[in-house]
Amino acid sequence: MAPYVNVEHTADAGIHVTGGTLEELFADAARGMMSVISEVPPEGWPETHVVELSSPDLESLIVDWLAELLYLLEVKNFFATDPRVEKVDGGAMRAVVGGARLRGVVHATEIKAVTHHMISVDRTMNGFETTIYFDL
Amino acid sequence: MPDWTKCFDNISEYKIKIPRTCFEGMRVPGIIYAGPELVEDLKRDDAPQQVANVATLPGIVEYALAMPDIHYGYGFPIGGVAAMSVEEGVISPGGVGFDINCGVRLLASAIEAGDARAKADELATRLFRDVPTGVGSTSDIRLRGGDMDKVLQRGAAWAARNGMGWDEDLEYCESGGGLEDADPGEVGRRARERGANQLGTLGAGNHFIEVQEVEEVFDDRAARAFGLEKGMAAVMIHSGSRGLGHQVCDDAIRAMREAVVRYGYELPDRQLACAPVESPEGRAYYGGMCAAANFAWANRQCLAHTVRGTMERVFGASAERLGLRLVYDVAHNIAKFEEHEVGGKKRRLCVHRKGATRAFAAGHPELAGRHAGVGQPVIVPGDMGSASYVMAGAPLAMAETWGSVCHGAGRVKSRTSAKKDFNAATVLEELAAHGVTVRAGSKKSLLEEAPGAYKNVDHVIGTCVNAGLATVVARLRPIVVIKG
Repeated sequence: MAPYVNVEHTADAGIHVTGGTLEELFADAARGMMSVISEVPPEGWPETHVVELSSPDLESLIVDWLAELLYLLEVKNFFATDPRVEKVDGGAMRAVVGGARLRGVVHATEIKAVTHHMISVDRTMNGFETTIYFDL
Repeated sequence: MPDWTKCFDNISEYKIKIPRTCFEGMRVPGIIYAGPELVEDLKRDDAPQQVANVATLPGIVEYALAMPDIHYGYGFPIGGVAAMSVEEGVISPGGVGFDINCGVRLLASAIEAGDARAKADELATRLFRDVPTGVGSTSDIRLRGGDMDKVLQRGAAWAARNGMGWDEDLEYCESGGGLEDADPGEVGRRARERGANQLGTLGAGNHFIEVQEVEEVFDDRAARAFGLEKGMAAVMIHSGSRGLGHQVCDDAIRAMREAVVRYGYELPDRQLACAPVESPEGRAYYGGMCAAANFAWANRQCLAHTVRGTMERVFGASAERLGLRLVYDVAHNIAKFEEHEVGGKKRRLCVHRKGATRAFAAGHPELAGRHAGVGQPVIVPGDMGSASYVMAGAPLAMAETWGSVCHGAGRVKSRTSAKKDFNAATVLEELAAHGVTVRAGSKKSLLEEAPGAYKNVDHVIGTCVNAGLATVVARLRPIVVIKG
């Protein structure tokens, strides 16, 4: 099964993500979200950002993690392409994110926000899965 | 997906009730306004579940409502309206949405539609160049020193007083284009960073600018009061509070997801995170939301200023001579304190409208000048291929829907299937056949917003009118469409 697939939603967009470990799940969720914004990563100067977060629970943490990448895109013009999630432990995580600083305006899909809509991170036979919806 | 129609109790041809017994935890029934043509769409969508979810919120008064453009959202359905008791109820950022005060503004004009059509290509090219759209786009408006606080405090008035508008513009905005309860202190650093360069930008998704023709007038008196004349051009602008508002909502949900545990609420969806209206979290959100709403009003004011400038250059006359007067500016994602009658008594309620438009009837004390005798203008954008409508609020809306009606056509097709089912060349051809000139940021945005992705706006308007919530004043047909 692909690590992330698009999920139908009448007005917005969603991704269903699977991962053998929580670290994989978080990295695949990031890749999935960036693919909703632009299927082909836009060009730019290589850049790396370190993301460290803590949240009350796993569900909040994965939403906060993706919201952090949206913030980096909107404010720092940084498009994440290579999220290396080093550690997800309870409600805390650390990632080193490779990507590109965009050179100008990109006509891509604008995600307004990562929603908490029906969010649940679940354990499966092979690891973890979750479905995340974005407000477009 | 459960078959909700089994649960439906038809009150009338245009009004469906979801009884409290239908879903565990409902405190009040749900009411969906949907005519016979729209009921089929309801079966294919899980939005009725979201109406039921809203009905479980603490302190909800009378019913959880949904307008005929209802479709699946997150937290509240799109088209959802709920009034909460100020004393015992909650305020929920999920009942407003991320795009706080997303809304529509309509400019009338003294330009013959034929003249606009003759210059459609030039208008489209210039508007697309002058109005910043797309991810990462910024405007030329630079906010210095304390400017941001002033924008957050004053809304459209800030722009109008800084050379970007006319004084009369403010009179014809809902709430005068600014909410007094705004608390800029509740707009955090990140929200300010996101909004810093975005004042006067359109955004993407379903946001647009359209040059339209007033194709039909159904109510001469109201149309005259609104400044609309058959055969003339008009300009419609659809945008919101940009990244600033999205972040204010995000921050509030983060604060409230912890408050939910503290207040012991059990919610069917985390996106419905909420706090008592009169709690520190509730007050903080409301102050921040009002400030973000003001940012949105300032944004639409700046966009209108840009549009007036473009029209001046294209038609070689001043905006005043071109008669580019504001018809109205409505919010369709907002929570407000309003007085309504409940069981024969006036009560102050916290009314949430998410993808729904305020529609006050004639005589309401909040309606000014030329609108007082005909009701509030309600601006309803349709899809880019067919038509948009202007309606006027009717007395029954005051009695049944807390003075609210629909906000658009409402989607029926997901963005994914729209991309699969439509083809850019065909969509452009069809739009051209309808006399519509389009400029869009990408093929993807064109396909996602293709006319076939939306409900038939005539059915949505038909339900509102037949249910008695509003009267129809005019139909507008697109000539030029600008998409992010």
